[in-house]
This record gives sequence, structure tokens and C-alpha cells, in this order.
Amino acid sequence: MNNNNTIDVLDAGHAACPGCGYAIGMKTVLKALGSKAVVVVVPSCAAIIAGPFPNTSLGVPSFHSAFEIAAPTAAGISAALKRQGISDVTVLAFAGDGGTFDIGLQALSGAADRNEDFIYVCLDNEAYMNTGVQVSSSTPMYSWTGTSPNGNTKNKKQIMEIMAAHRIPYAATASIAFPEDLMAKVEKAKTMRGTRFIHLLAPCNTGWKIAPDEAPLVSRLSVESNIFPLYEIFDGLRYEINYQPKRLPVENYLAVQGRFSHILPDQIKAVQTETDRAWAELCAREARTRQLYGDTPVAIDCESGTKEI
Amino acid sequence: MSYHKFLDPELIIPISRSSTTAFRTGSWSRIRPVFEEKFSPCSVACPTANNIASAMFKISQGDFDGALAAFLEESPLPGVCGRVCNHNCQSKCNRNDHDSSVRIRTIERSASDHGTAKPVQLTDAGKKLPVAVIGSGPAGLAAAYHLARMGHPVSLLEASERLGGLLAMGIPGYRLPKKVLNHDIERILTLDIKPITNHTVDHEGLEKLLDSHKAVLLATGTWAPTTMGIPGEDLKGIIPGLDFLLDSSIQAQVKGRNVIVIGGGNTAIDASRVAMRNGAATVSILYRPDLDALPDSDDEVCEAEEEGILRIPSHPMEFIGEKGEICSIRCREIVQAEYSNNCISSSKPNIEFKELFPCDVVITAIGQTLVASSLHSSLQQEYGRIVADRQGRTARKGLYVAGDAGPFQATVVDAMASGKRAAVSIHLELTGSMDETSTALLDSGRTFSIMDMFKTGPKRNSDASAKINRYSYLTASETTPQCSPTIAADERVCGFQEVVGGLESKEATAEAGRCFYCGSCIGCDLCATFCPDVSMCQESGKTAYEADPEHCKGCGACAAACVRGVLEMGEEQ
Repeated sequence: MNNNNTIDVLDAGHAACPGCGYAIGMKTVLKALGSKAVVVVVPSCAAIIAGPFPNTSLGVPSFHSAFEIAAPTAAGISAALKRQGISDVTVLAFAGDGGTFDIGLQALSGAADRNEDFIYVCLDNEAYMNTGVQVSSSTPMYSWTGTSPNGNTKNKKQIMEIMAAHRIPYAATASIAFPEDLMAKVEKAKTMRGTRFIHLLAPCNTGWKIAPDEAPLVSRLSVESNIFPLYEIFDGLRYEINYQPKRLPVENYLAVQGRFSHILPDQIKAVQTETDRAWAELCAREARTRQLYGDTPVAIDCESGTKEI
Repeated sequence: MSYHKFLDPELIIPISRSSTTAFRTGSWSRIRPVFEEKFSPCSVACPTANNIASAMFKISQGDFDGALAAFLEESPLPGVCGRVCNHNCQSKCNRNDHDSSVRIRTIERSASDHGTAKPVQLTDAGKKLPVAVIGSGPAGLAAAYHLARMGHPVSLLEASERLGGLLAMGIPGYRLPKKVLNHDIERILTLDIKPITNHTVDHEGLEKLLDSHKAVLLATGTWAPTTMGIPGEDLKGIIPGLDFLLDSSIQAQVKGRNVIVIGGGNTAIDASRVAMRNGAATVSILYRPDLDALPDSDDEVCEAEEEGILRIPSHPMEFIGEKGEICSIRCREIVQAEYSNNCISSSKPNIEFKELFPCDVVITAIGQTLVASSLHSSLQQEYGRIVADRQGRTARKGLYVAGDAGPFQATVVDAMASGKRAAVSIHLELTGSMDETSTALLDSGRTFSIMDMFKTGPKRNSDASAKINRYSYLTASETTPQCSPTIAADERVCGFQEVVGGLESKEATAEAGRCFYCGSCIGCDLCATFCPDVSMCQESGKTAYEADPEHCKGCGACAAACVRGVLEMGEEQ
């Protein structure tokens, strides 16, 4: 069937659960990416969506790699393309939060350290959903998972700060509920060179215990309640907040999700306090870095991409 | 080093070359999104069923001509309604639960102020079936307009020298400038309508009209004052409200005098404000909360109070005279039960109750009834109106009634709505195409859309208007409505210039942009954007979105994201 909304980037018939936030996220990213691209997928729900052999849902050439090596695989493909003199093809890696925050962190850090030339999209659904909801270092405090039945006891790892510490040219958070913002960020990343990182919150209806139609709604709530603010970091230094949220109470976000159904009033208060603190800090960082660096990009003296061997 | 020496990758790794579209994931569910455009809550509240959502979207895109055309589909008087309508629509606006309703009436006015459009002919099936319309008030004009759009040659008879009826004579210029009314009337007269002014129809005249025309519509309105039935009503200085509004020589008599207006509706408020503009020393309104109609909208009450008019709830019991002239009114106190019975927020009393109200002039505006003429007395009446059914049909075949003369609500927009229903009923009867669906549409439902009547396919159900979902309020930011410019109270009481101004086109565009466009698909594509299964499609050239039944998993993300309530989940057919 003809669909003017997505042109040959993701095919129907993939095996994601009904209402999957990952699929919405991948579709939006691929739409902004366009057809001149190579995509790397690693074990995660993204690999399920990409399809079982001999079928694939992706409309661009893609490569299934191992769990922890999304970043170096993308770096390798990027280098190979350059070696062949092809410079107009973007290489993009999809990895889950497990493959980014936990297992793939070392490989990602290495690639980002060398400022390899690719876009890395972390599809964050805040647990190992593909294997049946086990806790990851991306799981938020108090959230139920199969391995944290009484609620997670640790705060979510601050991956954006880790990536910023690598001083990569571009890092941004994005949400599936803000498709225009997400597409603009992918398009902006496409115009840059070096390691570009997009942290995309993509709810898992099954693992978050929400109804199949609630992924966009819950994503929206995560932004509007400041749990997941939308911002960019340029050159690892200059912060820019992209959306001024309505600052709804975090309870609105927590109450709609079954994974927080056991949460106590004191715990909600604690989440609210932490969210307010993080937001205040983010705003302060934005103000401070703007004062320090202005609106012009910060010049970093390093060459991007793999050098000629 | 050259690359062709490498192995063909296909020999060492498997490569997927077919698409996943081969997998029929549609079999996972029998629930599918159903696309159905609906009435918006505001359209349902609008007696003439204006396609408000569509007009709003056009104005938000800066298309004032298109918006005016959308209003003209259902209503011939957008300039008039944009100023004097009681805007039921706004009280039903889904935005009320979020911040504040969209100022729909102001937008209708903007469409009329900034846009140009011509009436559209619906059919020419009525070409050889002439119809006469008696009376050119809102009901008569609306009926003539819709009859002419359906092809009927219309004779529009008017007793006075000008068209417009109550709109021309009963609504003062500070609310409805004459040139606005004339502009709307000129547009109506571009259709095949023959206006005959200075023509009074009596009983014999009606018989002649019934012979020479296939049908006659009576829209004469109610022009005779209702009496209060209390002692002293024949004293000098007691003037019926409509007489006061019609005659400028009577108006001039109130200069420097103390005026009391009795009644609570539009005529009472208008009469009091006209008295103020004619230099009355003081003007008070005595209204009986349990009996009197309330004014159509709070705005008017506020404006009157700003101009220094007092509103006092009380019950006149007797007019007391001195040498045959009115000098005071004796009242009894209002019982609490009566007061709480029928009360709107701003109709709070603003002075203490007294038993005796001294005055020089009393204007009674407690309602009107049919004029006792040979035309009316030959027809069956009940409660001071001509007996008719919902479609305006009287006991006599070929004779219809609309507006205040019939048993319909007495507001401008309700009169127009009854004129439209009667026009469609006449058309269907004369062309012999009255069927069950049409009868159901005409007789039931809270509102009646002529465009639905003439469109093919399923008709919208006005009892099932578009609902708003959780996502709408979450995505909408809270905004304040645009304010219309208003002349200061002390300045406006000096003359008859229009009190409330219109919006600039930019402001109107911003105001219309606040609309959720409930029930009307505007092609925002959110359903397709949020479809994880890439199965939401819009066939080229069509407005409807449809889910691909072979791949849609029935998750409902599309319907949850449909801010307009057009998509809802339902069982697969």
C-alpha cells in the first residue's frame, strides 16, 4: 500500500509487539536518515524489528552485529566506505540500553574516543526487554523488573554525561513523542562528522506495563514531567535545552505505568526531588555554558574519523 | 590494493533479500482503527450546525475566503451571527476543560469581515417549484437562502420597506451595524430570490399565494407585546420594549428621565442600553428571576452593567400613577427559591431591594406574541404561536412556519435553524424525495446540517459528537484567547457606534489556531507517525486514513494520538 508518510525505510510485517515504542522510534529515525545510509543493528528489540533471515524490514542496507559492538561495527563500515571513496553515505548504529549503558559501553567509549564517523542511536527502554525484562543500568529508581521485583535500588546511569565527557561533536536526547524534534536532530547529526550520539527514550509496552496504545502518551509525559528533558550537547561542552516542558508532577508519569504500581508516596516525593534537582542543574549548565562559549560551536582541535592506514 | 579480490560476502554470511511484508501480522488482532469524521461538540451545540472545525482550520491557515464559504454552507448570515449570536458553541468547546473556549463567534465575524465567498448552489431540482416566504427576518432569510440554493424560485415578502425584520429594526446599531446586515442580505439576494417589500399579507393574500406557489412559508415573527396583567398597565409612560426599539421619536422622550425596564432578555437589555444612549438620567432593569428569560450571553449583561445600568431582581405587583402618568412601581420581594431557580453567574443583584421604585418611564420587555391579524387568526395557535411540527409543517398542506411565529426557540440562530429545516422539508416534499433517512435527520438530532443531507455516503450522527482524548490536553499548551477591542463605557454611551470591534486577521489566525478541530481530520499525520507497524495509509486524493488490514496489529496508538477524535478503535468488519 502507498504510504506517503514513510517512504521505503521500514516495512510492515516486522515482529515487534503491538504499539512498540522501539518501532515508532526506528521508523522516525530512518525517515529522517533517508535512503543514503547503512544501518547497524545489534541484539535488542531493534534486531527483532529488523527481521529474521531471509526477511528484513529495513529499507536501507543493514548489518547485524554482536551485542556489544554496535559502535566499532559502525566505525568499521564507515571507514570501509571512506576507503572506497564513498562520502555521501551515513552510517548509523541502533543499540538498546543494555548494549549501550552496560555491555557495549567500553566499545562505544573507544569509538567515541577516536571520534569515529557515525551516528549512534541508543533506543532506551530502560531494561533488558528482549530477554524478558531484566534490570539494566538504565532502569530508573524504584522501577519493577524481573530482577528487581521490589523496585530498582539504583538511579539511572547518566549516559549523556558519559558521552559528553568524550567531547564528541554532538549528543542529544530525543523522545518518540516529539517526532519533529527527533527528525530535526537526526538531520542535524547527518550534517556533522565524527561520533554523534542520540539518546532516544522508546517505551516498551510490555516491560513498562502500559497499554499497547500508550507508548506516545507515556513518552510525552516523561518529557512534560521533566523526567526526560530534551536537550543537546555540542562538543561535549555547550548545553542547549530544546523544549520547555509543562513541568507536570512526576506522579502523572509514574501513575500510568504498571512497573511503578508499587511505588510509595515517599518514593514519589524522592523521584520528584531528584527530578527537580536534575532539571535545575541542567538549566544552570545551559546558562553557564552559553555564557562561557556563546552560541558559536566550540572549536576542538582533532581530526574526525579513521586515518588512512 | 583493489577490492574485487575479496570474496563475495554472500558466500560467508547470510543476506536477507525479502521484505517482512510477507508476514501477515494483521492476523494478530481483529481490532482496527475506524476513520469517521464527526460533528464537533460546538457544531452540535450550534442550531444551524455550522462546520466550525473546518472554518477554524481554514482561518488558522490564513484562508478567510474558505472559512466564510464553510460558514455559508449552513448559515446565510455570518456577519450577523458573528456579532449577535448567543454562541452556545463556546460553552460546549472542548477547550473549556483546558484553559478557555475558542472565541468562535469572534472568528465567524472575522471570516465575514476579512473574507469573500459566494453561496453555492446545492441542486437545481426545485427549478420549476416556486415558493413564497412571508417575512424577511432571520428565519425568512435563512429559508429563502436555502430554498434558492436548492433551485426554487423564491418570492420574499416583507411588510416594511426594508429587508431584515427584527435584525434591521429590533437590534440596535451598537450591536449590529446596518451595513453589516445589508452586506449579508446582498449576498443572499445574489441567488434566485425576488424581494417584495412594503407588502402586507392578510388571510386572502395567503390564499392567493398558496394558489400561485407550490408552498408558502410563514416567518412573520412575534411583534405584539405581552401584557403583564397587573393593575395600572394603561398608565401613560409605559412603553412596550419593541415599540421603543423601533421608534426613535419614542426613544427621544426618555432624555433626562428615570427609566425602569421590566424583563430579563435581550429586548430588555437592548432597551435599557438604548435609553442610556438617549440621555436617560438613570436606567434600571427589574427582572423576575423565576419568570423572565435570561439574556443570551453574559457579555451583554456585563457591558450593560459597565454602562451604569442597574439590575435588580424583584416582582412588580402594581404600577402607581399620578394624574394618569406613571410615577412608581410597587414590587414584592423575591423569595430565595425563586431566585436560585433560574440564575446565571453575572445576574447578581447590584442594589438592595426596595418595595417602591419611583420612575418617569417604564419599558416592558417581558416577551412578544403573534400580532392579531387576519393572517394569523385563521391558523391554529397554542401558547401564542402557530402550531407546527419540528419541520415547520402546519395542519394545512403546503403551508409551513418558521422562526418566532412557530413553536421554536426565540433566538436569531434558532430562527435561522427552523427556517433551514422548513426549507429542506419543503424541498423534499415538493420533489417527492422525502424518505426515512431524511425524515429521521429532520425530526431527530440536536442539530441539522443541510450539507450532510446533500452529501453521499453515511450521515453524521449529531448525538455522537467527537470526544477528546487524553493526548489532546497533554500536547496543547495553555493559551489565553484573543481579546476583541471594546470601546470604553463612558465613551460608547454617547452614541450608537459598534461597541465591540473585530480581530485583525493575524489575531484571528492565532485564535483559530487554538482550536482542536474536533471531529475533522486536518491531515496532521500523527496517526501515521505513531503507527509502529507502518500500516496507516492515506490513499492519494482522499482524506480518510485507513489501516492496512494485513499488517495492522490493532495496538490503537493511532487512535490514542488522534487529537481530533476522528479515529476510534473498533471491531474489523
